[in-house]
Amino acid sequence: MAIPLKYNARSMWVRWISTIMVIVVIAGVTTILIFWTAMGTGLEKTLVGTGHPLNLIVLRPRQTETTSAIDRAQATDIAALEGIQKDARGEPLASFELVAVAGHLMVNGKKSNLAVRGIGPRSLELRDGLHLTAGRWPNPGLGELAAGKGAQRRFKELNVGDRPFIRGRQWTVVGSFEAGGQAYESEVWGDIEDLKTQFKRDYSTVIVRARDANSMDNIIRLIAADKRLQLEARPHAEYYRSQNQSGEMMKGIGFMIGIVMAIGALFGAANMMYAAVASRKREIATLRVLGFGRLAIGFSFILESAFVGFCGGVLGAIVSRIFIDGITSGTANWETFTDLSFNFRVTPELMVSGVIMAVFVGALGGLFPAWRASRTTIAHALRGL
Amino acid sequence: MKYLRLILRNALRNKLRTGLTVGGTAFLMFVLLFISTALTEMEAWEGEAAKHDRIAIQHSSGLANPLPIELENFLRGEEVSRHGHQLQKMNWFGGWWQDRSNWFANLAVDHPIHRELWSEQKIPDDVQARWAEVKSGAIVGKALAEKFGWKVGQRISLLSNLYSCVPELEIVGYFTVPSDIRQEQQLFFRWDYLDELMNGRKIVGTYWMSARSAADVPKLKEIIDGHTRNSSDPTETVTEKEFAAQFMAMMGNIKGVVFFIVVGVMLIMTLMTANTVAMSARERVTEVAVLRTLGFTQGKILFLILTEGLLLSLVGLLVPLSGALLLFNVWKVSPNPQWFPYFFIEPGTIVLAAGVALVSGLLAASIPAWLSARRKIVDGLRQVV
Amino acid sequence: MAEPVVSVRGVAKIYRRDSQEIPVLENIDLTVAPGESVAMMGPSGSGKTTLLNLIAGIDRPTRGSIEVAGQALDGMSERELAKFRSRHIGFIFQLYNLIPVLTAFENVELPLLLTRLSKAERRTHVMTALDVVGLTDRIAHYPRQLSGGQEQRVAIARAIVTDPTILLADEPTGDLDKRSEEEVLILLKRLNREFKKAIIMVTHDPKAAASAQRTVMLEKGALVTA
Repeated sequence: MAIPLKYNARSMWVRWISTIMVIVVIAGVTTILIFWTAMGTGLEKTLVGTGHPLNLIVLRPRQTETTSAIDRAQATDIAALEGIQKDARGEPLASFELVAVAGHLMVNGKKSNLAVRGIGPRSLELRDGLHLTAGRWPNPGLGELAAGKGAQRRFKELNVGDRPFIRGRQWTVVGSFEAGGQAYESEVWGDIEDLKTQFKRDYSTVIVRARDANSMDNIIRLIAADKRLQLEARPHAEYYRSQNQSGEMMKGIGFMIGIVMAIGALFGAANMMYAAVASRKREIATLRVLGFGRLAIGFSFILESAFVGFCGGVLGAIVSRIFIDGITSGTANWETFTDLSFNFRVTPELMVSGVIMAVFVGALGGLFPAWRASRTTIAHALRGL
Repeated sequence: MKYLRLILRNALRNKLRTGLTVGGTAFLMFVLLFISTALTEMEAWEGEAAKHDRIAIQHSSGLANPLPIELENFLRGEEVSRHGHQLQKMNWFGGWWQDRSNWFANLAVDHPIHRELWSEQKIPDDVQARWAEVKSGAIVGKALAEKFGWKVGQRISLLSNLYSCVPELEIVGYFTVPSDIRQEQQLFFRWDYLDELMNGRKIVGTYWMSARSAADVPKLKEIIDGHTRNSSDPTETVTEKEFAAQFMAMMGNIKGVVFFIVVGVMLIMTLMTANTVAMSARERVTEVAVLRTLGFTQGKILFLILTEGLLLSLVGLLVPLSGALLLFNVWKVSPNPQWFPYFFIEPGTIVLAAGVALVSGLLAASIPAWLSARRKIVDGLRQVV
Repeated sequence: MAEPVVSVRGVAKIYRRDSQEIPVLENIDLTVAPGESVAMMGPSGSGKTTLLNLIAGIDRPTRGSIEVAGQALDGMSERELAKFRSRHIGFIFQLYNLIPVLTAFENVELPLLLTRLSKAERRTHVMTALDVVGLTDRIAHYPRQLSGGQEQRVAIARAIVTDPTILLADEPTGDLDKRSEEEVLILLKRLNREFKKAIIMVTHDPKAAASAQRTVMLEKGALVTA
C-alpha cells in the first residue's frame, strides 16, 4: 500500500529551512527560465502574427521597406494586377507606402532608430487589429503624425500634442494608435505625400490584398516574371516572420541556459533529499517493518521531492508573473535597424511549463536518493547507524 | 596554512553532499561564464576602439541616412586638417555570400588611405598595389577567407538587403590583424566601384578620420557638427568607441539582462552552498564546542566555517572554468558562429567569476558560521553527538 | 600553603529558562592546591559538571569569583578566556570528543595549532604526549579505528600536550569498560604524582574517586564537604 502522504508532509516541515532553500533555488531557476522565454516569445509575438494572411508586400528584391524604392508608375502597375481584391466601389485594395528611418532620442537617453511610415487611404484597411486610442489620424500637408503605442513607450516626445524634431523638421503628434502588439505599434505614421516630399524618396512599399490563396501565388508569379518591374512580392506575414532572427537566437540561448541551470538545481534537490533520507533511516526501517514495501517508500520520496519542485515552480511562476510580465522593452530589428518594441509576455502556458519543468527537476533530483531509501536494509537502519 | 587540513577533511566528510554541491554550483557557474563572455564579445569593439583616436561622422538622423559628397571637401579643408587627417569614405554594404546565413561584415571604402587609417590591419604591399589596380578588387581578413575557403584571385558576388546592386568582387589578397583577430572577419572593397554600380550617385554612408591627438577629438566634433548644423544633412561626429556603443544601445538593455542573470545565478549558488554549509555545521555542534574548550576563539571558528564555504565555491568554479576554457578558448567552439565568430573567455570574465565565487562562498557560510561561533560552549557540549 | 591553583569564592550559577529561574550552584567556596588531585562527587543534577565548566572558563558564574593559576576569570572577554583555556586548561570529556576526521596524531596536535610553534616543534610535543599515554603505535589511526579506552587516552594526550596548569576531567571513565577504566585511572594518577599536574575529576564512581587525594561532595548545588 502507499505511504500516507501525511508522513512525508510532516517530515518536510521538520527540515523546513533546508527545504525552503531548495524551493527558492528551484524558484530562482524557474524565474530565470521564464524570464528568458518571455523575452523571446515577446519579441516573436510582435513579428510572427503581423500581416494579414492574404496580404502581399511588394519591394525591391531582397530589400526591406526602409531601403526599397518603387516609383508611381510601378506602383500603379502593381495595383492593376489581376487577383487583387476590390472594395465596394471596385477600387483595388492596394496601398502605396514609404518607410524612413530617423534617429531619435529614447526614453533611456540613448539614441535609436525610429521607423516613420507614410500611409495612404488604404493603409488602415489592409491591417487588422489597428485602432486609434487618442486623437486622430494625420491629415496631409500639415506635418502631422500618429504614434504607435510601442514607439511612444520607447521614444521621447511622441505623445499626443508633442512636437518632435525628426529628420530636420518639426512634426506634430496628433494621435496614438495601438495594434494588438503587432510590429506596427513600434512605428510612427504620417501622410505619404508629406513624407515623400520631406524625405525626398519614392514609395518604398506596395501592399496588396489578394482575393484568395490561389490569387496570391498568381500575383507573386506575375511580379517575379515581369522583368521590367524588377520587384518581388512576398506574403506580408512571411516578410515579418523572416525578421525574427534575434527572437530565434534568444530562444535558443534561453533553452540552453535553462537546461544547464535546471541540472544545477537538480543537484541541489538531490542534496536535500539525500540528507532527508539519511536522517530518516530509522523511520524508514520502521515503516518497512510495519509492512510498507520498497517501491512504496521509494515512490513516496520521489513524490516528496517532486512536490518541493512543484512549490519552487509555482513560486517562480508567480514571481515571474508579477515582476516580469508586461515589462516593455525593445531591440533593433536586425533587418531594418529600426527599433522594435515588445512586451515580456508571461503567458499561463509559460507558467505551466515552468512549473512542469520544476516538478521534473525535483523528481529527477529525488530519484537516486529515493532509490537509496528503498534499499535501506531494516536491520542496518534499526541499529541506529 | 595549518588549519587547511581540518577544513578540507571536514568539507569532505560527506563526499556525496560536497560533490553534489560543487556539481550544482559548477553548472550555474558555467552559465555565468557563458553569459559574461557573450557580453564581453559584444563589447569587444568598444574596448579595442579605445586604443585609437578615430572618429566617425554620421548623419544625425542615424546611419540609415546617407551623407552628401560635398562634405568631403570641407573635411579635407584647412580647418579640419588642423585637428584630423586620413579621411576615408565608408559604406556598410550589409551583404552576404550565396546564402543569407553566410552573413559577414563587408564594406566599401576609399582604398588608398585604408592602411594608414586602420593601421592595425596589416595589408602587404603587393596586396595593396593589386587593390589599387583592380577596381572590383577586395581584401579579405585571413580568418574570414579561411572560414569560407576563399582563395586569392577567386571571384565572389555579394547580395545585400541595403543595396540593390550586386558587386562582383575579385579577391586580391588577405590582411591580418595580429593585435585584434576579430577584425579579420571583415571584407573591404572599393568605394569607387560601389559608386559606379550605383550609377555615380555618390552616396556616402559615413566618413571616418583620425584625430591628430585625443585632445583634438572635441575640437573636431565642434567644427564638423557646427558646420553642418543648419544644413539639410546635419551630422553627428562620434568617437569610434561611441560609434560601436550605438549598436549595443540599439540591441537593447543587454547589460541589464546580463546583470539580472548574473545576480540571479549568484543568489541561487549562494543558497545551494548555504544549505550544505548549514547542514554540515549542524552536524558539528559538539565539535565546535570542543574546539572552543581547547582554546579556539569565536573568531577562529568563524574563520574555519567561512573558509569551508569559500573552498566549496572556489572548487565549484574551477571545474566549469577549466571546461569552459577548453571548450571556448582551446577548441574554439562558438554558440552561434554567425553572431559570434569568436567566443573567448577573457581575463575580465575570469575575475568576475572568481569574485562571484568568493562573495557567494562567504555569504553562504556567513550565517552558519555566525551561529556556530556565537553558540555557548556549554550548549554545544550538551548536544548528544 | 603556596598560592592555590584554583580559587572559587562565593560562586553561584542560576539558569534562566523562559521566565523561570533554576539555581544549579549555591555559594560555592573551593580551593585546590598546586599538584593536588581532587574528585568531585555527587548525585546527578548536583551541579558538579557545571562547577567544572566554570573553573574551565567555558561558562560564567552568576555570582562570585573564580581564580585559576593566578588569573581572575571574572572580567575576561571571550577572547581572553579562549587564550586562558589554551594555556592553562586541559579538558577531558566523558565521550572523548575527538575530531573524527583527524588522526590520533592530528587530534593531539590540535591545541598546538593555536601556538606559534613550528611544525617540527609541534611534532616533538605530540609524540611526547602520545608516549606518556602509551599510544605511539597508533598515531595514524582515526578515532573510529580505536577502542574506547584508546580514544580516551588520545584525548588525555590532547589535554596534556600544551602542558596546562590544571587538568579537568568530566566523568573520564564513565563510558569505558573495566580494563580501560583502570588504565585511564592509572594514567591520571601518574600525571598527578609524577608530572605534578593538578587534577579535578568529576565522577560518580567511588573507585575513580579513590584514586584522588581528596574528595569533595556536591549535593543540590552546595558543597557538603570542602
